[in-house]
Amino acid sequence: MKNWMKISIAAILAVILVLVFFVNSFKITDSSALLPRILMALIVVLSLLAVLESWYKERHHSKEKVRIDQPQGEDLDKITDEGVINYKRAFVFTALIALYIFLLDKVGYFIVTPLFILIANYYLKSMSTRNSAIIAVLFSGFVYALFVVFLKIPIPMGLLK
Amino acid sequence: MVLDNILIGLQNLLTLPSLLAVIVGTALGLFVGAMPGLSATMAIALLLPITFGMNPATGISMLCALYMGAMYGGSIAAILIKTPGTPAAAATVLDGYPMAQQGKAGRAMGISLVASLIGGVLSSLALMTIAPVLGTFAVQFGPVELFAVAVLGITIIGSLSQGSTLLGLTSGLIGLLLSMVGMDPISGSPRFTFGNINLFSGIPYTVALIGLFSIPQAIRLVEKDEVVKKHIEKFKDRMLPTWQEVKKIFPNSIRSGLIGIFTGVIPGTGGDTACWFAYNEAKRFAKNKSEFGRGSILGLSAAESANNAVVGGALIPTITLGIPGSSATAIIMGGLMVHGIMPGPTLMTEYADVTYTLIWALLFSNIAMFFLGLIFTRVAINVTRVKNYVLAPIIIILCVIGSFAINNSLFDVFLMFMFGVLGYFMDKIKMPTAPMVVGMILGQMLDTSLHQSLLIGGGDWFIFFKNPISAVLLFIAFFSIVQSTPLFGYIRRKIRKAT
Repeated sequence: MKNWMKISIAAILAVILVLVFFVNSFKITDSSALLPRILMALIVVLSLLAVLESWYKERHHSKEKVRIDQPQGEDLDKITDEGVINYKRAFVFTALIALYIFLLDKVGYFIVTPLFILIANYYLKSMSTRNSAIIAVLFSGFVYALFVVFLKIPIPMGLLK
Repeated sequence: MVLDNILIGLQNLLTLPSLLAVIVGTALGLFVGAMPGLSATMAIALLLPITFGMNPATGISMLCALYMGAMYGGSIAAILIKTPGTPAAAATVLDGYPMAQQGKAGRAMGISLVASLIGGVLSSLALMTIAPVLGTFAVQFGPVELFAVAVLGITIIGSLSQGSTLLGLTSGLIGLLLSMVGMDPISGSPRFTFGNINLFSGIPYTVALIGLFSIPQAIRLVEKDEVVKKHIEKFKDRMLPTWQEVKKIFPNSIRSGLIGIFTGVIPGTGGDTACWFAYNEAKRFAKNKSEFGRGSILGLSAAESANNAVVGGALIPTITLGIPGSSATAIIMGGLMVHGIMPGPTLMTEYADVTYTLIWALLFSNIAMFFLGLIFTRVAINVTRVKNYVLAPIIIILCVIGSFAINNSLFDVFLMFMFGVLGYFMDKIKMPTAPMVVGMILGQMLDTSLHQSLLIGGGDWFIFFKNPISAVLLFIAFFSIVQSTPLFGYIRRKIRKAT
């Protein structure tokens, strides 16, 4: 996806955020809404200018001569020094994080955390299951010692309550 | 009075818990900085909850020591595997790696360590001398001046961040808007909470910060195929440089340290800017420019002295004005606020004992860093072998427990994740996240000072221009935006052509 398209999507989302806040600003007093409304107006103006800027840069850049063997456009976005970005892997990993957080309260930190480490390492193929299990136990133990014993911070126990 | 506070701070530091905290913090920073997948900012964010059980001075001193240690630690991977351990070690690669290839890895580490010590001590002394003076000046600031300071903080960090100024300023403004969520400080009624009781106390910016900096980094570590890291041989040559080498790098390190302090003071610029700035200046002043990029100890020492000097420099506006000089100091500010201490002019008066303990701790951490570096650098090499795919899940579990521990709230964990996803997308469109964090920090101050100023001025907006300090600060803010626009560049080119 071209950069100006990404910035356009971001600008639209920023405007939606501003609209949500703007509608909500009528539920508060005018003096409380003063600065937020100024900020909202500035965000909308800057977002539009950012879209124009990125479109102008893209148009100006595309007119320059480009070597045929150099990556361009979408390829340029995807290719980094170390390789192509695997968005599917990034998405699955993010979904795993979301699931981990969702289950924290219901299942408990000391069950979900080792499971998260095991599943993440299995999916990423980063180490053997045995080593993964050792790290899972060690880290859970470290967190227990530090936060529960030393700092006396209550951790969601979930099923272990 | 200032002398009394300096002595009290030294007395507080010279206790076993404080000294131990500084040594442990420095050692942690050294190891964390050596890992290419972790930055100093992330490490401070992840370890912040550990400081909750300590007294404020000890806890914050540990975080500052970690920051200082990480700045040296970043040079380990930069020299050995051509991969900076932290962004501030990027320029170290240019001369550090060639030295390693010539079989002088130990010597490179030693030069890096000595230069880091010089830069770090210089910035600690600068902090000790400049902060009280600036603090005395800043404590006289009223609402009008504080409003201008907040505007300046946002515009500078927005216009100096990497990439588009427009995106930087937009990021800062969104941060300011998000800081409005919670209880309105003027009317005391909930604002933008959308009926969610968890938002009545606002969005904790430390939670947002953990999300914005750590989650995107963890995802970035897994989105690319795992790169097989080069096998690192233990280096056999001596680390401690000779007296002649120290004499050769000393003037250059002092100059680079001053550059680092200056860069650190400016919000939005940190070690990653300072190292290049100092490197370029070192090359400019060098008699033999051709040796740069081929293993020059001047190039190496310039980068390392500057990035360590940033630490003290960045703490100057953080402590005296409540404006973070870098992302790492933004988290340190969060640490102070969690302990109930508001950064700003009152830090030098009401909480002078905490502030001066912190300053002494920073100075002491340089000495700890030097000795720990001599002893543990060879051991720290091993952490550079940790795979990115192994590091990523560990970062996540530390983020989760860290954000939960701040307020014992699962809602904070959810917020942290949302900010993490936001940070990842901001990274993809090259919108800087640091201005958003600074916006969230300065938002309340901006709002309160605006209302108070308008009350004082009877609703007259020109009050900000009638006050000389405020007018000057607002002019600098305006100039910082204008100078980053294409129009300014066009005018500058025209003037150059004409002259």
